[in-house]
Amino acid sequence: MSLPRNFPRHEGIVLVTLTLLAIAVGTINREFFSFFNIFSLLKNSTIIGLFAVGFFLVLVVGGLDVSFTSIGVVGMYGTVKLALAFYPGAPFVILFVVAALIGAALGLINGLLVTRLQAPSLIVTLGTLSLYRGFLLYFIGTKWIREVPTAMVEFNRTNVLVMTAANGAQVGLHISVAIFLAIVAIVFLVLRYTTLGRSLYAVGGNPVAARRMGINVEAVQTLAYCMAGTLASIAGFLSAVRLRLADPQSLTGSELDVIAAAVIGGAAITGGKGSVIGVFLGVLLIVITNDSLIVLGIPAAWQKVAIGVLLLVAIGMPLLARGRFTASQLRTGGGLVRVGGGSA
Amino acid sequence: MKKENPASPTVSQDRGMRQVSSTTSSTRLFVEGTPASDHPLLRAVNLSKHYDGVTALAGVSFEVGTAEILALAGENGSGKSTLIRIIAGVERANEGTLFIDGADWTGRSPIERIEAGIQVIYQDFALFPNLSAGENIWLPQQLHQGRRLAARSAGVAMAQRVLSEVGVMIELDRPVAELPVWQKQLVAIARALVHDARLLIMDEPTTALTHREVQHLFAVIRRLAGRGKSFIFVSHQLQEIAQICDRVVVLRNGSKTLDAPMKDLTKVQIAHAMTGREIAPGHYRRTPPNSSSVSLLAVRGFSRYGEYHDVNFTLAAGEVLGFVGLMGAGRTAVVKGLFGLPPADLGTIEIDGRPIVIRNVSDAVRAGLAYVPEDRLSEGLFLNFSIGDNIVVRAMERLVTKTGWISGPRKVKEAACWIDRLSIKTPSSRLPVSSLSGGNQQRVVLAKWMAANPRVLILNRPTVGIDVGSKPGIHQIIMELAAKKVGVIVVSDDVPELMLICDRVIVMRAGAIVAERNLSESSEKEITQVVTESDP
Repeated sequence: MSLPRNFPRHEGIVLVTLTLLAIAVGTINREFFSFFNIFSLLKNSTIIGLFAVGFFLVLVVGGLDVSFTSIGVVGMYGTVKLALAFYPGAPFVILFVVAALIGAALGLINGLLVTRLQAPSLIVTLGTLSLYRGFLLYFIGTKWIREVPTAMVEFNRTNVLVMTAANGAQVGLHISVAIFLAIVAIVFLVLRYTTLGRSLYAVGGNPVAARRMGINVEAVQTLAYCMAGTLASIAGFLSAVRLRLADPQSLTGSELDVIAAAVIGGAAITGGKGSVIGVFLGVLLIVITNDSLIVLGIPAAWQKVAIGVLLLVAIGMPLLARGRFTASQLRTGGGLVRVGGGSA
Repeated sequence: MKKENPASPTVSQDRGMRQVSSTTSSTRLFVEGTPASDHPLLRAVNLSKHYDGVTALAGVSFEVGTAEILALAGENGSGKSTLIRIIAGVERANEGTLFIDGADWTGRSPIERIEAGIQVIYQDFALFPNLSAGENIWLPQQLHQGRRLAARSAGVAMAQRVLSEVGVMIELDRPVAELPVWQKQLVAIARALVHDARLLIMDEPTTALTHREVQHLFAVIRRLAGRGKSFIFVSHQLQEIAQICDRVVVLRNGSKTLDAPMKDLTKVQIAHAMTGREIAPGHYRRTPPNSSSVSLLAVRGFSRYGEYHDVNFTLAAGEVLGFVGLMGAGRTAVVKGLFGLPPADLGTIEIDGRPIVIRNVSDAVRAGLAYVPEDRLSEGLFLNFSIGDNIVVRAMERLVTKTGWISGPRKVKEAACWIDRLSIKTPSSRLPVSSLSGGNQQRVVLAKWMAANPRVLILNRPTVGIDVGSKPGIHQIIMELAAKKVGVIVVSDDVPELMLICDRVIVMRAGAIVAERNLSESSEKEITQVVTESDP
């Protein structure tokens, strides 16, 4: 018994890393712990965070969906175009729902293609990544839309929590953060406390067994793609709200951060593992790394290096943990968990 | 439906229907079978199955009673798997009828059969490695009940109730991936019981288990049988069938060749029914290896922290040396250490009197060692590659032409030669290894290492999961190798088997050698006694 009984879970390690990073940056730059900075960090996390939660949902069922930026941009641009064409004075809720529905529809296409073609999801979604954006640029438009519906502009002014900073300035928590946190909470509850959520994990863990158990594997997988599409489209829409601008060329380039956040948070590329909490922590870690390096005056090119290193460490960690785990088993004389079911 | 319909079909149909509703409302009306006791729990009448003109099953009839442990024995290809699939409802029989509690259940779906209490525990257990042991037990039931919310506390209670029925404790919070095989099996059993299983069909449940774990499983099976559960125990291990089963049904080429209570049978009769020929075991006669010459392999002071310490032994050319011991005794660790998986911390290894260092598998292969793992599926074979490629993978240097290319014709010839020599049953060396039966896969592993012309061949439980009828073939190959002056080390739980093929046996306990016996001067009883002595 040379190791503690409960090996620290992945989320715990990420939380510790995050805390250490925050303390380190906070020591160098006192402004780090100000309301202003914390609120802006959270605001910067929402778009990546929504993408990452969606990406994670597909990872759970054992798939890979890399088309999220395209879905986001189609959802954003499509919603704005539709609103301007048919209902420029639409209330925010309607715009939000339209964006979600566009995303759900595109996610559904992903899900159906993956489950019907029985093709590798990475390849299928790489295809749709290009397809959706190409479709948008060719059929819908390539121009920036600066005159977005007024509801979006109004909404962007909303803060849910206004604090007075040390210097007396008023700083507010942007409402998109509240939407993001609410979605994280909902996904957390669904994944953890509903049989549907547990079925997602079951399908990712062993699809054959899931089918034998009577789970409709294809339906569950399709649903995951659908949810991922919805979240991606909401993310795209919220980014347009923030910028008061619909840019069909935007959002590309965030793929690395999103995938890194999910993997650092403990989601396994092979499926069935991880939690939303882990993904949330992973997102914060990525955002803080990106932002604080700027604050510390480190060249932007190093951000990529830092994210890459974080990603590799996160992938390596489960392997190291497993190594230690089996070693502890051997030492305690169990000797039962070795690969290949050793007998003696 | 040709004959032997139950006396009152309408009544029994009725009963069948009632039962479906009773299990869904989770009352246990027919469990521990009281009212239906005038009918056997399961009755198969004249089941036949043909695939494209090939008869897999030819008119098999049998019964399983409540609380009965029935052995379904037969060699690979005898129709056992087909029969299980028909009982589970995954496949339809071309002819014949299946009765559950006397009601005709032939046309029912797999799900309906599970509701009637018939569950198959497949060899892979069909568990979710990423979910906890507990969730594996309760999630299927909760999904089945149509719950929207996962009720963890209710699930824990459910799992604990069932596990206490089974008589074991499993850490419910641990992911199944981290559990040892035998515990995974118990999770699969518990999951079936949560679903009110009355008949558990276990497909080759002991292949991945050690002797000790098998005994543990048997204790569980007996306990559950005592509580009214029935079992169909699919196996070809005569020893195990004799130990656990009440009645034996043997299939050969799709027909039933034996159906009798175990107490009226001997192992020889069962083996005869399985193979259709007499298998009379006796020691393979051959000239003993020349012990005066320098040992082919000498191991001294071999130690690895926490696994084995100060292991010394020698192996002569042409000798067959057995390693035996209980689980955790360290025999597998020692032979794997020889092969660098992982290497020992201390100790010297000499081959032909010259010291060699083995840090990894490549060192071991270069020194002329070969290791055939027990788990051929995960360690020994490239399952999706062709049989031929698997055989020649270790002999590539002999197949390379002067220009450095691998010669296709030579490869095919080499593979064909081994397929012929080891009588591997396949129409072509180009088929994937996964198309072969267990015994033939084991032959491919053997062929792969023999093609490399090793000096020392280490076999870990070489006949586990292999038919009675195929074992002599494997033994024969070992004898031929020894006759060609290869030193052979065999790790096995099966003392009778070691008696058959070895010159010498080393007994290990708690990581150390406790006895060494020349088999010409020792009896099976004595060896078994040393192995189990002071069993903790």
